[in-house]
Amino acid sequence: MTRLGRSVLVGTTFAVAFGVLTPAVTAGELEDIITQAREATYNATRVTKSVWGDQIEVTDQLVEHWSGGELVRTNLSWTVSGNGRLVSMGEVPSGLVFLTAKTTPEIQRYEVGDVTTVKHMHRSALRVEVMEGDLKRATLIVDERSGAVLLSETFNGQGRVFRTVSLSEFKPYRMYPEPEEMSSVPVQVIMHSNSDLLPNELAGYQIVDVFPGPGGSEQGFYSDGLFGFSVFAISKRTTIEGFADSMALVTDDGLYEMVPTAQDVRIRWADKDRNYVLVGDIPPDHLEEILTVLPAPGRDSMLKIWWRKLFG
Amino acid sequence: MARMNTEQARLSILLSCYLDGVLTDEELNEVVHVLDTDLEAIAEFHKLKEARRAVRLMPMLEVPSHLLPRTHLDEELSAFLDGELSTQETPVVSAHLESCGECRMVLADLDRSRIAIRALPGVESPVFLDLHRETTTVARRRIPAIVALATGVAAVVIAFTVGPFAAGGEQPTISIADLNARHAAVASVPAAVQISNTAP
Amino acid sequence: MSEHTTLTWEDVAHRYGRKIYTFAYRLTGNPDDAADLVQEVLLRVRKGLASYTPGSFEGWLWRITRNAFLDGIRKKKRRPTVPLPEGDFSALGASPSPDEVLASVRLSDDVQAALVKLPYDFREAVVMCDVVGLTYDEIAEATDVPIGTVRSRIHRGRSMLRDLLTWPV
Repeated sequence: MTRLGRSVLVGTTFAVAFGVLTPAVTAGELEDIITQAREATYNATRVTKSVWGDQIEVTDQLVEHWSGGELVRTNLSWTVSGNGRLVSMGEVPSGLVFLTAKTTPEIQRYEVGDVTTVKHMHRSALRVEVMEGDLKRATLIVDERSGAVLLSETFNGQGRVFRTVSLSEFKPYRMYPEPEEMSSVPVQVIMHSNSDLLPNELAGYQIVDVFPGPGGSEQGFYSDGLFGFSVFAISKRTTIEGFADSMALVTDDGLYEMVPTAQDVRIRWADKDRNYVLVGDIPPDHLEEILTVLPAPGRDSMLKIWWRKLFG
Repeated sequence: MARMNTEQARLSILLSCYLDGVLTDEELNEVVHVLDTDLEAIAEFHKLKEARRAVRLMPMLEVPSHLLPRTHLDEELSAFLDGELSTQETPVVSAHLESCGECRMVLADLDRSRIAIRALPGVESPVFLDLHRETTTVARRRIPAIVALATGVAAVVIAFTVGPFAAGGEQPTISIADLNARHAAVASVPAAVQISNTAP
Repeated sequence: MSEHTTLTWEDVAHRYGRKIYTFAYRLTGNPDDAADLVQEVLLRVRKGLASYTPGSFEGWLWRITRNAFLDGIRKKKRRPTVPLPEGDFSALGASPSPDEVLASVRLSDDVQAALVKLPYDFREAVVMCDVVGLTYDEIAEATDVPIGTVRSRIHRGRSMLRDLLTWPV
């Protein structure tokens, strides 16, 4: 019996013939699943697809994953991340190291629902439902032997799939050593700091840590144990690039600029005091709740956004 | 000092060795016999015993602490923040910080204190600004060299910033790519639950 | 001694630091020289640990220590001196009887002062045996001489020491 099998199935009876397990195992086991997924060793092609309204974003990457980190290759560059560090070897090699003693919080709002055995890509796997109360938030296909998540579907508040992440050409071992050039990439080290501005809790997400950002900004990273996002509070005098082709996101509070990608969403807005950027892999309904709690866009900035949309 | 002939010298050496317990059986027999009968040998024996004892009773000294590596870093952290560590000390300090969460936290607290002190009027403005302050110019500060946190690999750090992650003084423009990279890096911190309850 | 593969130089520093420092101090009678020696030894240990092949660890360590010490002497081009303690040697009294001598515990300073008056080879042998606690074999390995020479040096060192303690010059 594999590690994963035991941790999920402990204390429950399991009927293979019917393919359905007795319900609701505790959140503790979801954390085991996530931890084992983080620690899994594999090499695979990873395709990530997200749907935002009519817009579909897809990326595919070569991924090498191990306990505490992953190496992602595209045809242009590679990136190694893990444990608060990200090193990128593109045109200009550079790296970031965030010094923090903090960890993402324990899971409070998700539970494991149904668990069934399946075959996926000829591998023995477990199909795990992740429940957020009555809402099915995600389905994970977890490889029994390695603990890797071979396929995940994340649902929005209406129960529709909004993101899929799938692994193919899956090999439960590593193929490449860490690139030698890594050791010569210049790295910026950023130490955690404090914020008077950012709240400790945001719509079900806990603050993990705060860091100084570029140009005198602040970065607060929030997590609920499954999803996570960063809020950047930035000086009004700073220009933020990269939102030229943004979509408009409208909530009760106002208008935001949004750039969806396959892996995450980036939001920009401003109130009279400062600029804000939010980046994260959170589902759309969580995003709306979070934006409701954060300072609302100021009228001036809304008008500016409309202007750019109409005439820009 | 009386001059000894070769035989006496040889015996004297044996007496010394007897005190250290390094005699062969044959030698031991010889020494025991001599100590039974030879008064001069006995006197010599006591003399050697006393000298040996005098040296052995000298206390083991305490090493001055600056000579030994410390279990945790202390004033090195301040020196580190000021960029004052020598080229020999820096990798030792960095390697320690890489694996010691406690010292990293102390480092962060120290940095905050330093910033608070430096933010007092009349002092050079720090790089990491409080949002409520407006500053006109900020001196570019060299970030101390540190070995990056590892998953087994050390990324050597150079004390300047380049590429899309540049930070430092007040900048008019930042890119979403930079912010995204920062988010991705921070989001990769470990999870609260570190290890499953089952062994592989 | 456990396998060297699990030893870091910090381990060595913490486990042997006192001994190395004390060895150096007893040999030189000088805290600055002792400190210099500790630093030099630890530096050499750090460099050498990578290429250390399993054997007698202590012998290896003390050989490094001794070589570092001798290199230091050559560099300084002077014989080590002892800071003479305040006080009057004559207070020890002229020619006490062997019994009196045996009974008294010598002031460490006095012994130190006498030690540094010994010829280097004898001093080193006595310090290695009675301060550091090395075996004759280990001393032979560290000093690169035959056992017989070690025995002789220890004996003569002790003998001279006793004379100095009894009739300080």
